[in-house]
Amino acid sequence: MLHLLPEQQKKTVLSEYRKRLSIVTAISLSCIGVVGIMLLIPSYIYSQEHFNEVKKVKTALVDALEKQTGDKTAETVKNITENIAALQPLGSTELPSYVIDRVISRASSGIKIMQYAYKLEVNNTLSFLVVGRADTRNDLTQFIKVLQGDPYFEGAKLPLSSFTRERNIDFQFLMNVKGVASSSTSQ
Amino acid sequence: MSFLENIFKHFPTPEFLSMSHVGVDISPTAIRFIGLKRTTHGLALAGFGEQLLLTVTKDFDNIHANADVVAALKKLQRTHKLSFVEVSIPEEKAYLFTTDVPVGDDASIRNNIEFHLEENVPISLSDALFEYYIINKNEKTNMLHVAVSVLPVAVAEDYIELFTSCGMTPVSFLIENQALSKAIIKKGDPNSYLVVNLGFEKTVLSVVSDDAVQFTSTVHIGSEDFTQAIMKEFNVSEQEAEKIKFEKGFSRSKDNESLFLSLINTVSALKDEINRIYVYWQAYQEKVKAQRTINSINHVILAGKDSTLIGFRDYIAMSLKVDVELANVWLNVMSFDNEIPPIEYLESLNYGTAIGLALPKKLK
Repeated sequence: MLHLLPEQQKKTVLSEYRKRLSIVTAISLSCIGVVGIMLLIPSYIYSQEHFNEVKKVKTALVDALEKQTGDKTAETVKNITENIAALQPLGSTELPSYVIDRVISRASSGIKIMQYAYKLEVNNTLSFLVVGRADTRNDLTQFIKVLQGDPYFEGAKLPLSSFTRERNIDFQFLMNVKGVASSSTSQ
Repeated sequence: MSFLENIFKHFPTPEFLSMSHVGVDISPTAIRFIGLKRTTHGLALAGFGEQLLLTVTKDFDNIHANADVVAALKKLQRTHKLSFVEVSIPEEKAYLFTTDVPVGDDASIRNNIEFHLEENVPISLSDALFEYYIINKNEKTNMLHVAVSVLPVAVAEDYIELFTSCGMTPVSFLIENQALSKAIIKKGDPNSYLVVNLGFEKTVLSVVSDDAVQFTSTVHIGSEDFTQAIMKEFNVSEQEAEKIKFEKGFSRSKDNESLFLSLINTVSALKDEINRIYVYWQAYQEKVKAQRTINSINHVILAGKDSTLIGFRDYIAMSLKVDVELANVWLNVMSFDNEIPPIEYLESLNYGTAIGLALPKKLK
């Protein structure tokens, strides 16, 4: 090849060769690309399927978690709501704290109130439980009398068992807070 | 066979990229081409064709303007879809010489050849294209003995214009007898051969030694002269003379006496020229034997269809007292043990140059 050729003709032949080499290279690369893609297709389909499966599992897990979390949240909200409700005004105006303050103000220094509990009944009356310890029987008797004398309360009555001891008497009694609406007006 | 050769045997360069060429030989009477292809068993014939010229081309000057040649080439190109071609250049259009240059790289060898070029050929360096072939190296003097082929730029451009106008791209030029010797002498054969290429109107005599054409000489005696002699002697047409020539040939017998005598002058003149070259080479061999070893000629190879004339080979052999054999143009292409060439033997002798041109570089 290129034997006894003038420079110009050598360039022509070489440029033709280079052109052909470029075409062959381009075709070879394209073929390699196509073959590569064809070989990758099964793997792609498999991985896509796998991805979709994982995605489904993930979605299911997220849904389950959300549901679980949602349930807990609802329970928490319910508890909070209940707690808030406990602190809400009794009836339309009274706050439980007011009732507690009133009970405490009626107690003498010999009375230690340890626990309160209250429940708003369906007829809008408030049942109020007071648990405590009196230093002496006299202090306890005095405390009950004061409460009985208070028109705000009704039915404050100690069981007889509470009077069996002379000192350090544990007591517990239930009373009703009379017509909260009306009593509030008396304040 | 090396590992790489094994790989290339089973995974050959794509046809599109190898830009495989056909060998095109323009002779005075016809244009012939041969295409070869690689197979796992070696080379095989890919295609061949011949387009006879309407007129005999005697002048190869300004060949691109020869309408007959252009038409024939265009027809061959259209019929056989020829693209890349390696073309033979007639002996008389090119120059060949041998010289000694110091050992060096390609550039320095070329520089040395350029320096001596104008001493050896009658054209200036600027008007010449040349290629060299290293014949051998003299270890004592550290000189290379090279064969240099020189082609005038104008001739190359003339042929390029001719082939380009016919839709073909020349990729290489080779001097006619160099191409022929590539086909008929085994690659790497160090022996010396005298190749007698009997053409239409001339015979080219070449000495091939160490795998290179080292000397050429053209004798203006060709097959046309044989035919003319018969036409004159028997007063017959050219076709009839051709028929007589190949049927009876150059054998001396009682019933062939007149034919023998009609041809003897021409054949004898040719024999004298062959003998002259033979003697010259033997003398040259003696002269340079102190500097390098050259094998003496012990084989004459006859090429060209007319070299098969009955008795011609024997006549040359008896005169020179050396082995004379007919060329096997398929020697470097295929073995007759494995394959039968699709071209008849007589015809194939006309394809020798085209086959040499079509051979891949490795086998040249």
